Amino acid sequence: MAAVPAVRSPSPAERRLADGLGRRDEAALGDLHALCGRTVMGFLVRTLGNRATAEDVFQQVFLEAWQRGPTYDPGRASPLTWIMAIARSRAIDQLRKRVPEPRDPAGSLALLEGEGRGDAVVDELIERWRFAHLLGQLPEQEADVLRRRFYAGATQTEIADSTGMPLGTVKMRMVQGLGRLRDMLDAEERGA
Amino acid sequence: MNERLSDYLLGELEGTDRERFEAELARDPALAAEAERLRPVVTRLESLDRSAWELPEAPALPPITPREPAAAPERERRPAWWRRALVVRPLAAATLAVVLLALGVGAGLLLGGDGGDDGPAGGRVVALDPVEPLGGEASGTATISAKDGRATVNVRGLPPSAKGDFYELWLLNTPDDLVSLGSFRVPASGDVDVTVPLPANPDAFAALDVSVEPPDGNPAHSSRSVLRAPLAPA
Repeated sequence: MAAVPAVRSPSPAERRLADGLGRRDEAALGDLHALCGRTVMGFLVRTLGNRATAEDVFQQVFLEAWQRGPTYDPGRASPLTWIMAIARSRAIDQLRKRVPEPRDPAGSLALLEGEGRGDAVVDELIERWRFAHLLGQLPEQEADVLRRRFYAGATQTEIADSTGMPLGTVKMRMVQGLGRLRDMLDAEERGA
Repeated sequence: MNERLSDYLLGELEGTDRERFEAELARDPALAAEAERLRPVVTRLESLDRSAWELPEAPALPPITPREPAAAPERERRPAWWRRALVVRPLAAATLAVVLLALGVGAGLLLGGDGGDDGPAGGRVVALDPVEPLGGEASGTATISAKDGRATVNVRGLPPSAKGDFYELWLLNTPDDLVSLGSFRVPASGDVDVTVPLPANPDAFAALDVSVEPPDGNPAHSSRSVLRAPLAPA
């Protein structure tokens, strides 16, 4: 049976972005950069293990997005999914050209262990950075309690103490943040 | 909202408190469903790479405003002797293609000896856009490092080289002012990465050009450009 292509309902903002990229509107590329630039750079630095190389590849990624802009279909992929697919390809190209003495054992070394395994590691990193991107879309109050809990390792009581927020508010924002993240993940996965 | 849901998900319920809440989950399918919906998010957050919490600043966008493209050279207008020494003869093209591909790999091996950058980090990246009508869906980028005296060209979607034909890279100003950088062949994938030495200052040229050349022994530009990048001043 033939595979049915995924169809998603792009948001108005995504449609505007796609229209702009289709017209080769420089402002649209700027919007894409503002929306996804940090996530793409985070992924490239982590994957390539070197900031200068990541910056070179970053520029290649956005130039390719500019070139391919007219072919971007927001009904098939979110802007993040689309540009991360480009970033994935360019990162793999870069790693395949590399000398086998990577600096970062968790990143580029694993990618050199074998082509198939390398692709899988890149895909895993892509997933992590897609998730990181979603974190950046949360309302700041919710992102803050999640950061304090999962990055700084504070308990909810400690968060309440350090911020002066009532404990009930901390718990409410924690659950709201988790729920919003889950909704965004579901939306991404439905139409990735 | 049940406040103990976050306690439970975050592992902050212990002993009898935890047992009571699990009994409540057993009685309340909606609460149990919400706990199961959120649990994978907690798991992902707990295993999230620390660097993902501190996304780096994104570098500025590369310059993309296209300049007026240089005119395609007219084959007849250039004297045959013009910069002949810099032009790759078709008979040598296959050999040079191998050499250039080796250079592409070798440059990475030799210049990336510390395991770090194997591209010309800090080089100027320019977009190669298709030139109608032959460019089709092809695209690419070139990273030009005048300091290192080389350019790395990554092209995608070019038609595979026909028998005898080859692609040639040029620094180009006008039909009378251009320099060949070398030639290469394109495999069935349509993708190729090549590193070439720069025999001239790229800042002195308006465009980087890729043409398809027939094996006719003529060292001039064929006028059949497929990709071109304007070279704005660095």
